[in-house]
Amino acid sequence: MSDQASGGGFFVTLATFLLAITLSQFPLDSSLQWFRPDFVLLVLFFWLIWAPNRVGLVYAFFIGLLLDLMRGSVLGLGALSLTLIAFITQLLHSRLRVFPMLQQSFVLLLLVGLNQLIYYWMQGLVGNSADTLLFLLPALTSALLWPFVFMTLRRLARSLDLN
Amino acid sequence: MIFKSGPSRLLFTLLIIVALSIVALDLTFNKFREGKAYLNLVATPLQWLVDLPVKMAGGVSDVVVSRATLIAENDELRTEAILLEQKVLQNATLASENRRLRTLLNARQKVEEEVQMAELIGVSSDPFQHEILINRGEQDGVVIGQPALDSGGIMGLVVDLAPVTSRVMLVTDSRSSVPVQLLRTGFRTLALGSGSTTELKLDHIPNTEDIRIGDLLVTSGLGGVFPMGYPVAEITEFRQEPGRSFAVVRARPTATLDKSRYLLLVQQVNGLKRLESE
Repeated sequence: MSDQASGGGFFVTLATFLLAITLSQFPLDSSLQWFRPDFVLLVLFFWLIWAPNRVGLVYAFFIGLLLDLMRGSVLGLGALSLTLIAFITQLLHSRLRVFPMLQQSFVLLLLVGLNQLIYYWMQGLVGNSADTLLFLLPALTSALLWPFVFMTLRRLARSLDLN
Repeated sequence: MIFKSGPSRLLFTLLIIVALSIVALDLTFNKFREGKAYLNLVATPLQWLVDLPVKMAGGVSDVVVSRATLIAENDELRTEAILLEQKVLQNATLASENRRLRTLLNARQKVEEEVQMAELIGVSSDPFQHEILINRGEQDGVVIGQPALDSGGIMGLVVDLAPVTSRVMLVTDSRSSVPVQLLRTGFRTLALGSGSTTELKLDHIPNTEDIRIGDLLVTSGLGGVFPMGYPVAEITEFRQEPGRSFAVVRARPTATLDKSRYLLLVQQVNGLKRLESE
């Protein structure tokens, strides 16, 4: 019974990640592109807090690899940064669980900012230079979006009795 | 609690090392990149999924389009077809004349090109990376470095392959540079991507160079990647600054980089090999 529940949990979790990756690649107008929240990190952040025994470093690593394939960046970049973000989240885990939502948003702001910095810094090594700091905007929009994402995913997780 | 002694530092270190080695492999080994084409197949279904809403919107607008619009469009296309036919007529005579002149000059025959149609299925979500995804891949004979164009001119070149899709880097990407030639004067230079979607820049142009706004830049064929004679961009700015040793030159790509949904992949047929096989 518990096996079945965790099996269902696996597919639901994967589905939320696939949806997040799809949203992260969805074509937007070039001026709106700067504001696109980091959907994958939002979802990852939720599952790391909600189901830490199922979604961990290895999970983050493979989601990162898939993301690299999707966006055509250097393979391993996303895996590197998402693993690092997952590690930091796990370090803060016991505190994050009891944080109010606003405080979680603030931590997320820093994490998405860090993720963007790592990504663009590594892209710079490859030859894609970023000449504005606009690429930090997703940190803000992701933090603003966090309460909605959290409540939606929590409802989903509770209704399916996942953890 | 789940973490009695915090998260596993060993696992973390291991994964970071693996990720870094994948990055290093991807950047240095060509064999790895070839294998990556098959790995890209994993992402292909998702990429189709991302494109689906756009396709569906197109399908809906096809169904609900009114009769009047269709008739108007049909008329427009017919006049365009007549104009194009007239140009083709001229083209044939010009081509034969060109061939005769070339034989007179004892010059090498112009390389013939074959084209393949491709459809855009995705756009890079990273604002610093001007890349698009098309629905032709390794199985359709696409190779890395193959140039892509639309009705306006050069769009970019293939930089990444998967079995049924490939990725095209646009000319405006900051990593891109296209060997070009000013059509009016024959002045050769490089058109560099500026990172902005509507602009190319030309570096190290002497202040005294004869360049006017509106001049057309065409591919020079040097470098062997882009075939000769296709339009690339139009000069939009030529500013001489007395204090500087070089002029500031900007150009606008003639291809509609952000709107074209259909593009052509050019296959350069090697002239010599063709002769041997005939």
